[in-house]
Amino acid sequence: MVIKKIILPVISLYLLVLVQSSFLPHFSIKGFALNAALVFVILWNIFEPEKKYYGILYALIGGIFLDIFSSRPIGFNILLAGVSALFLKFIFRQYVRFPFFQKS
Amino acid sequence: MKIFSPKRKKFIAFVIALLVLVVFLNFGQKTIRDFVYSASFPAQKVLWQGGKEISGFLGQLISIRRSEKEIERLRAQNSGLLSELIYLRQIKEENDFLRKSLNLTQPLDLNLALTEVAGKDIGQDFITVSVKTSDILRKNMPVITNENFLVGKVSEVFPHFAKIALISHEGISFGAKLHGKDIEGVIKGENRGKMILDLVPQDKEVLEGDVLLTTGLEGIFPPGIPAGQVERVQKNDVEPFQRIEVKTFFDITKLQFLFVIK
Repeated sequence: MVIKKIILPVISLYLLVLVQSSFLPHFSIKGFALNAALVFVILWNIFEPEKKYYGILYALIGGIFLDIFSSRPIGFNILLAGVSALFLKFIFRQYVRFPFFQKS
Repeated sequence: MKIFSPKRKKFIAFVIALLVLVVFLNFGQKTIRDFVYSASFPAQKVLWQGGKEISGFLGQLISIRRSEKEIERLRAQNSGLLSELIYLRQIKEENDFLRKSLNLTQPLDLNLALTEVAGKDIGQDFITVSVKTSDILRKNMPVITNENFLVGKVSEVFPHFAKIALISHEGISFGAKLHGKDIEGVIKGENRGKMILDLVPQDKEVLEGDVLLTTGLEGIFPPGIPAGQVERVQKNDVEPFQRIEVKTFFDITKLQFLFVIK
């Protein structure tokens, strides 16, 4: 359970950050490249069941990796990803339902 | 109603723990970053090289469709540059002979440290390079390619790595002059690989393709290093200065080995 819920996503986030810093810059369009780790965090928080909060943890871990590989002080991407995850959780709890993800 | 319910207490404790973690990470950020970069460098090297090869291959596929006219233009430009190169080599030989005859000192050779690109910051125009432990780098040391084109300057130094701010970074500005013309200005980075040449009056004639060299006035970059080429000129009677867009000589996707001027 720990491997599936914590270790695998952490390794995935680390690998995504490596790919976005060393591989994706070669495929940028007008200087814009995909922030793969942030996309992962956003999608996880969108599709995670309502009562689970692993998405927020992954957002914070992804933020740490993004901060380490960027030039900004550590905390910038942690805050950005954390707030995004909390915001998505709030919106999806209050206003959005995916019928095909709800148990009947 | 309890103000501090168990759930709220847990949330506050979590926020405090997070703040402590952030403070700790910032306090030891150089050591942590150097450790993570060292552990990640082998994989980053492979990914950077792979990205370079694949983007180069895709670029070739796209350029196959380039028109015959463009190929002829490049051939003619190449011939012109070749004859100019031969002429400049003759000038250099004469220069060296005269220096020896008049007993003048040779121009100083640059002391260079070799670095290898590991990755690029997604949000800003910074790259991370690996350095040898024996090379002592300092902040603001200039960085050039093997063709002597200006890339940027050292912005942060770690034990085995360094962060290089590219000249297109928004925090970088330096004096530049047009090669062969009596026109000077200030190059300012605008991020995402873009730069502008500012403070050039409207009455000065700047053409697309003009080469820009550093003047060295800001005291960071040595004078005479090719920094960029004029890409687009916009004149406006309302503004006091022209808006001149400048492109760098280097292509970020093709960078691998760089030199820091010590």
